[in-house]
Amino acid sequence: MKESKLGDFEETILLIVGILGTGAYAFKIAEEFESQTKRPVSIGAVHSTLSRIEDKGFLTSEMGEASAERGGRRKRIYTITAEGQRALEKSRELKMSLWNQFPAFAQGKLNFVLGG
Amino acid sequence: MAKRHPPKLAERFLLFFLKEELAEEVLGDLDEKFFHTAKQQSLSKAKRNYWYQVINYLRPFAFKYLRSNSKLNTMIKHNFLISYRVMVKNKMQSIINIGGLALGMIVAILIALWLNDELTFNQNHATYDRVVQVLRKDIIDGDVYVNSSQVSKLGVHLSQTYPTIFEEVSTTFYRNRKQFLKVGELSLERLGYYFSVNAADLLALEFVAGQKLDATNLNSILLSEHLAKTFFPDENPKGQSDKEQPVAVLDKFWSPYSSPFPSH
Repeated sequence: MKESKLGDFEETILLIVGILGTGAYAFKIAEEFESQTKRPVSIGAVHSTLSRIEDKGFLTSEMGEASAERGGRRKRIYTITAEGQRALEKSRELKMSLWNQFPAFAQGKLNFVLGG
Repeated sequence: MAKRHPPKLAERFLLFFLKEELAEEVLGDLDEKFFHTAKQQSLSKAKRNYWYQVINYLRPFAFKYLRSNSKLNTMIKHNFLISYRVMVKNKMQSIINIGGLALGMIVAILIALWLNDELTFNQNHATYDRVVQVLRKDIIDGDVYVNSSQVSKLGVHLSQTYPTIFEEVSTTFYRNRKQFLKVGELSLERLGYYFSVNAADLLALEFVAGQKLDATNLNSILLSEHLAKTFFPDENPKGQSDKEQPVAVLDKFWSPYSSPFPSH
């Protein structure tokens, strides 16, 4: 059976694809990921994850237009599928439900102990 | 202005391992990254980063050599499925076909086992290639009879008349017979031969215990290891006997079917 769960990194990448809309291709997604999370990531890692999510059916892709700074090469534009959207919503609901069951958070009294 | 182009070597390395269908988009992305970094930071940093990105494309999904174009597995599965369906459809024919093949294989294997047994017959004797058994051929009313019983004194005749042919001649009683053996309380009947004393050397029998037979003692007996253990389960059989017979024990047990000279 094909794996159809979303991993943490996959979920983040999927969200960024959604944010970027029609401009979502590997290089832009990697840039956005770095600027949003302040974590360095290689294009190869992002590309590998994108193709994995695509295999799971949460993304589709097609070749977009060429541009001069790419040496006249086309880019692959990724779009979230309805299934991908559902997976994101389900993941969000699960997290929200978990947070709501977390007593300190639910009562608005979340205290962090600093130091240690 | 310095040469604003991604490192050629890195590009060639990338194209060496990358799947062909990914080349366009990947090279495009890396070019964009390169020019972006070169503009924002420095050319040398962009070049270093280009190498970093290329190395990071060494991933299973992008590797052309990890993916096989062969559909061999599909083909074999398909072939098995088709043969299974044909077998189910033509049951009787399949049973005759496969059963016949199995029967033929069984017979061939049995013949091979039998042949192997015949061809290695008696080869456990070290003197195998130099020992012969002299048989007598009688023709009675046109029928041929081969017999192991000889006229008396044939042994002496052979060794004296043909010393160049027969280095040594050993004679034995023409057939084995039941011998009555008794040690203490235990008495058993076992098949055995009487033979002249040099037979043990002639047949290269291997001794486990006891002493070599000598011609002066007519009461010597040679036991198989199996029989010796029956009689003397815990002791060294040497010198153990009712009539003070020297006892020698062989390390192998020959059944009458595998040797013309059984020793038990």
